[in-house]
Amino acid sequence: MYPAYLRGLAFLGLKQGPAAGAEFQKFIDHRGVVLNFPLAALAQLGRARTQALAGNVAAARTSYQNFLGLWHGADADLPLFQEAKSQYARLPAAR
Amino acid sequence: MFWNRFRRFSLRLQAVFSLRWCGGTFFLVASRGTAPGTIQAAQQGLDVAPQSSAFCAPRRFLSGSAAWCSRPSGPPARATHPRRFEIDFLAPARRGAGFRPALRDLRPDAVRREACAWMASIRPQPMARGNISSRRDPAGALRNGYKDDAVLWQLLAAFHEAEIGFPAQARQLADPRLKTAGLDRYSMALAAIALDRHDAAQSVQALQPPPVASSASRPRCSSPTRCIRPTSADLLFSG
Repeated sequence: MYPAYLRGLAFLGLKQGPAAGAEFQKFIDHRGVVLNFPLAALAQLGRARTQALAGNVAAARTSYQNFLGLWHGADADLPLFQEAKSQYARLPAAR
Repeated sequence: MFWNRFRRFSLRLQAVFSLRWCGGTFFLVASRGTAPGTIQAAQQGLDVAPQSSAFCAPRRFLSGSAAWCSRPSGPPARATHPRRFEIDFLAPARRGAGFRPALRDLRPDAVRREACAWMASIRPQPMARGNISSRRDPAGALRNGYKDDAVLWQLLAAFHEAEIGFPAQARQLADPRLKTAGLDRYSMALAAIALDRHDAAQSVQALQPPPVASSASRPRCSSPTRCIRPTSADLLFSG
């Protein structure tokens, strides 16, 4: 599943939200394949970022919540965890 | 009357428990809030989406890992030593040409650490010290003579470090000598991302894409089980 994740990152870097979201969605659709693979959790964050990039705030909020739910026991000083929480807090309020 | 009472009792029971077929075995599981972390996440005000049946296997696996990873001593080795990995290791003939002992021999520990990494619970050991397979497997691959695999796994370790937010360790793992190595495009992408997270733009630019080899100049496989390409992995791990 590394290629899918790398493609997702590349598309995200190119600000091509839908294409990146499709790559990250593969992790979420095939959980039986990725099992406990660490990138499977990170794919949730990737999808949240693509949705935020596309302006889909409600979906992005849900995806961020899913990711933070998965990482509820994460080490508090983990840089990525702090970054995700910060991005989640910066999401505009739902109307 | 008895039948009605039994039916009501049965419905109540079904509201709490359900019988699920998962991995060849029936499991009696609570119908609501069984996913690891669901209750705690709900207490934190997070709306956790309901898990689908496709999450069956990971949920079984992770239901224990949350507790394992929270232990100061880490998860017990016995708990994450699936029998199938033992079989893989002890019966290489079952795996056919795809079996690679270099990647398997340390797999139980890798599985344990991956489960914790999945939960992002990686203390007390930092991410760089053996939490995932990519950290320890280079040694195993090297020991078994798979230098290309050793390079790839080392790059994967760097990639994981970069993704989780430890760019300095990623930079340390993505050895600067990699820029002189004739890596394939996949390894090159991993190295580029690992270095890019560290804002090492110059190092990323120094990674030159490999030339496209023609079929005539492409090296032939020297092993009946796998193709060992003569990349500059020899340069990396020489001596």
